[in-house]
Amino acid sequence: MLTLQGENGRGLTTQGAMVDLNNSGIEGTATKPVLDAACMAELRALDPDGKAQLVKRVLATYQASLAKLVGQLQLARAEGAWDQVSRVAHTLKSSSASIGALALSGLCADIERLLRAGDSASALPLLEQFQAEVSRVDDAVGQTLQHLEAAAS
Amino acid sequence: MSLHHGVSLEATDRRPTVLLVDDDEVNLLMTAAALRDRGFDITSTTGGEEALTRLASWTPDVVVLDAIMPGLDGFETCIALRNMPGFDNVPVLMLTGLDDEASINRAYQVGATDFFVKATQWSLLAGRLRYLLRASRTRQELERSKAKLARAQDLARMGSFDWWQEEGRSFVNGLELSEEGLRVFGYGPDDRVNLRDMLRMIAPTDREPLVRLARQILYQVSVIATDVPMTLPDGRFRIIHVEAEPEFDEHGHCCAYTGIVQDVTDRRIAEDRIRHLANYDALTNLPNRRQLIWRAERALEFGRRLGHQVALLLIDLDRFKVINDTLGHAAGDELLMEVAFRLRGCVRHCEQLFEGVIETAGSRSHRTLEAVGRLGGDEFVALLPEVADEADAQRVATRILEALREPVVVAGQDCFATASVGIALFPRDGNTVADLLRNSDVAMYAVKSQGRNDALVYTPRLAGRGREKLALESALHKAIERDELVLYYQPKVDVASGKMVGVEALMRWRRGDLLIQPADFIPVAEETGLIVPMSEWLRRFHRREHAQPHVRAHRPDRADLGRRARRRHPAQHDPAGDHRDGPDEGPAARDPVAAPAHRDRRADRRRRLRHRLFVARLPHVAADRRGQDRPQLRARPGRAATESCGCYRDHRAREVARPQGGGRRCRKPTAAGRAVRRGLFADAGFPVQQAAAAGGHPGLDGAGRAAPQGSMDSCELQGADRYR
Repeated sequence: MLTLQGENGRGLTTQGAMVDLNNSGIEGTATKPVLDAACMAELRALDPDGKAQLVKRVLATYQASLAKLVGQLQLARAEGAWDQVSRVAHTLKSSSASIGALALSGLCADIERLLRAGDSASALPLLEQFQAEVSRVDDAVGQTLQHLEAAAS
Repeated sequence: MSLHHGVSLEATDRRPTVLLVDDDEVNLLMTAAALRDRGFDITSTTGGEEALTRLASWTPDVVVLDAIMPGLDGFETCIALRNMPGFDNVPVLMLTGLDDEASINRAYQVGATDFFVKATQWSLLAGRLRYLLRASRTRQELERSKAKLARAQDLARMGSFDWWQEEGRSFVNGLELSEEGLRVFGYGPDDRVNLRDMLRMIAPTDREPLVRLARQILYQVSVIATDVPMTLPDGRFRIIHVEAEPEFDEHGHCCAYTGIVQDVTDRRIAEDRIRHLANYDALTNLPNRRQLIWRAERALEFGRRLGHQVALLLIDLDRFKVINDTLGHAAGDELLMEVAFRLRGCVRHCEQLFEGVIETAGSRSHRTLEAVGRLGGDEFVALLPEVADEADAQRVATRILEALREPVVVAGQDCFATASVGIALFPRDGNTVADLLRNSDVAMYAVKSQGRNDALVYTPRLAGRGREKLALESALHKAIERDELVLYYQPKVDVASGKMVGVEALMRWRRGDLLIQPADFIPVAEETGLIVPMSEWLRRFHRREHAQPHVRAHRPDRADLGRRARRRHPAQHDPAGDHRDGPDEGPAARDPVAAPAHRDRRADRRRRLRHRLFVARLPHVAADRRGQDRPQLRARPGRAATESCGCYRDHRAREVARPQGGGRRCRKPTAAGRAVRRGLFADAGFPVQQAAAAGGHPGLDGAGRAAPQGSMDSCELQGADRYR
């Protein structure tokens, strides 16, 4: 499927990737894909011929920073350092949006806003959701990376 | 400061460099990729500290900062960056969240150039960056031209100002000067100056007309261009040029003036100096020829209009050249200065410089034209713009002669600087300045010829004489140029043996068809000094002649031509000392400085020279117009060649000479003690040039060779063309 990328152009490939991601065994009630297809397309468009392996590098970077930031967030949350939690949420908000993890990005935005307003109580349930969404995104990213690896080899 | 930076930016083919700072590595990666794709050269860093480290050794064209970062955030980084030298004008774009109004405001506070909401719309970001770069470049160019302007204004001692109407007040109160403008008045950049301060720097006498002028300008809404003399707060006197144009509001009303102030003192001083140099004589500080003629012309205009007479007195110092020659030019200058000073006291001399139109305030304003000026050399002019009659002018002339009667002490000596004054009156003696100058000159020359140290009013009688002489004089000038002078050789014959012992050269002037005798042109040549170039001409001619080998071989036993034609330089002492036969000779006559009344030594010399050159050698036979003191030599009847140039053939004839009257003069003992006669024939010799020009002479053969005849062995004119 990924071999189509170079030959058939974005539309088809995006479609394919989306289908692929949706069928890749990620359970979830959401009808929306974890990674927004349009955003992924934009990402791919930055490196159309794949020479710079930008998609791969971005996703790998995202995965690494996700693990790091989630760790920081959990630590801060345990310490009740809501400022710190808010800042991590801010960073994750924009980078998640960049790769199309729009649900996660939205959650981060809400958490950041509530915490900045000092409403940590309202933020707590969202943080639970956040945790679940993080693992979904992480899985999706991991799978996409695997596909990219497979296609490259 | 960032000038070098601006220059590097002008290289348009270079990719603009961007420092990208974002802690979000995903975003950093994507933004970098997107911008690289759009032609930017990206350097990425993940934090403020790292960014500042990079900037310590490198200046990007633009910096993109994420606002929210752990550690040093975008705002703090921006503040730190702005404090670094050379970074005050580097554009900084702050990346903020979509709904983060606080960040946007703060971004501007910390000195960010602009903000951009984080998004994946890369083209928008790239567009914004390009805009920032262009704005930065424009700003740098502006800064540069501002710096240039400031420098240029500084050099020109110039600055700009605005003058406007403040709310609810009369027009002329708002005043703002640029830094350079403040400097023109000696103020620092932080000083505040208002109009009142400015007016206080102007002398009260100048202030009122200036305020009047300003009111008029404002009323007419015209352009301001005026020079204002001011005394600056530090006490310096300066002339400030103010130039401004009105500015109009949307209703077309003049709402302000904007313009420049410039210190033009030096220029004005230079201009005044130039004007003074152009109109005044540098030595005596009297009006020069130009200024004098201008004044005279104005005076004639007034005279014409008001119907009065104008007098022009030409004052020429007597024997000034003698003083110059004997005591040196420095002494001459000293004398001229003293004379100028005295002359100034003889008239109501007005120093004022006139140019353009003189203000005709009052009917007597032409009186201010009265002056004494220096035409050049030792010639002065007194202009009397209104005289009742010639007696008026004569009175002033008398005053002038009186003033010069006292000796002038120059170089430690008393000198008598008398003058000859020629007077001409408008309108009687001329209608133009040129006419008056010429006629006063005629009168002045008449004084000179009558013994100097006097004044004469012009009369047409004087002019008639002068005009004739003038015509002769100018023709004589041309005679030398046109080679109209001819030499006639006149054989000298030993009376005892009848043999010719030499020739003498006589000068004639071939003026058209006429052959003019020396008596008619030598006095003029002597008077005008043309005798000097004439003598030189003669000497050159003689030298050429003697350069011919055969002539040297057959040289006459007396080289009359060479010796007699020797021009004596005025400074040289007469080596022979054998000409002190004049009545004025003697020590007193030789010292004109101490005895100014004595005759000019140089004139004496000229006269003597003339005497030697011509008078003693004009023994015309038939056409002698000089009377009985001339040697009268008669040719033997039948032999006398009366036709022109026919003399040569007859030289062999032995002449019987009978001196008449003052014949003593022509009898000169030769070395052998023989009497020699010259000029045997009617036309007294033959023209040397003519002989050569004709390619032959009746007495010469076809080759121009002298016919070997008679006793001409001492002066064979072989190859006469060589005499040319």
